[in-house]
Amino acid sequence: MSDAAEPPAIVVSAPAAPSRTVSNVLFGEALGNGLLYSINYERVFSSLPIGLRAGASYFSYPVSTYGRSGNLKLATFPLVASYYVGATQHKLQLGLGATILYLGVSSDSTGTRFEGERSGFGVAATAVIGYRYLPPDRGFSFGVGFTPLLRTSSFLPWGGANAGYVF
Amino acid sequence: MRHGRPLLVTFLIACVGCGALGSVALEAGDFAGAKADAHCDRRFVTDGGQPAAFCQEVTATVAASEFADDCRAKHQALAEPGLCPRANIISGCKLLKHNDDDSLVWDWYYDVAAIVAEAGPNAGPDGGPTFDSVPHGVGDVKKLCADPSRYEEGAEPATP
Repeated sequence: MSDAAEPPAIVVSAPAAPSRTVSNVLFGEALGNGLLYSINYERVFSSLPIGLRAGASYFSYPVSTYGRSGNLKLATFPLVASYYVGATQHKLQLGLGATILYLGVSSDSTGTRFEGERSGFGVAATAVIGYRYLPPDRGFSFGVGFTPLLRTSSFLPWGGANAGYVF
Repeated sequence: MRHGRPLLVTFLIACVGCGALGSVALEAGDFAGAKADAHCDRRFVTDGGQPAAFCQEVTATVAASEFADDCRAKHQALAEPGLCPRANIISGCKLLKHNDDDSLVWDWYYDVAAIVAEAGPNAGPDGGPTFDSVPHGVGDVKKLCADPSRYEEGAEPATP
């Protein structure tokens, strides 16, 4: 038997992969800051941790079914900055922003336009308080939250749910 | 019979879902400013329509253009945006029927003596009376408001 001691085991750990500091999220949201729905891109800066989001939606509805009548058209562009609280992928989302609205009024079969008080472009203040699942690298993301909208003399207590992909 | 209950439940869920979605869309449309006012002035008609001594007004509706098209198609009457003209109104009836978009509807009855004087008493279709029935005062209008054959879901007297 040899007295020689066994060489100590050398454990070499692989260098830790650098955690991503910036990630991108493409997601769709039902209701929410885009009013009825929106398709969005968000750039998330994990080190801050802040996310900047821009989105868009378009909705057209035939108010009158008579020939030559014009549809009601609604387009929205939500712009939201969010602060994410939480170390893991489970985040509390706190956001503030604005939603740009465009309302194209409907017209009847003679071309007469029926304008509400707010046809054309407008802006609503908006916010987000919600839960967001954001994986650190790539993967499925989702969230749900309270997304109120505020315009002059009009408050809409609103909510939304979103799902998308982090890349 | 075994399938009756699941089918019924499915149907009910579908209906509730449709109603909720419609309600959500209306809320969103209201916030965006999609609601407008419109009126159908039945005193003035084209294409052989029968004039009537009232104007129907709907306020804050998402369906103003449909209302105007119906006015022309069904009554050959004058449809325009906004409220009914206020001049020469005797009084009106506020309809109690609830609309899905929470819009409100009024019928305003007019003193049409000046129109009859100008057009003659028999300027209606085929030489008939210019107006079907003419209220002569607030009392007549109140009777019209209370007439269930005219307002199935009720109406209450109103002043402009």
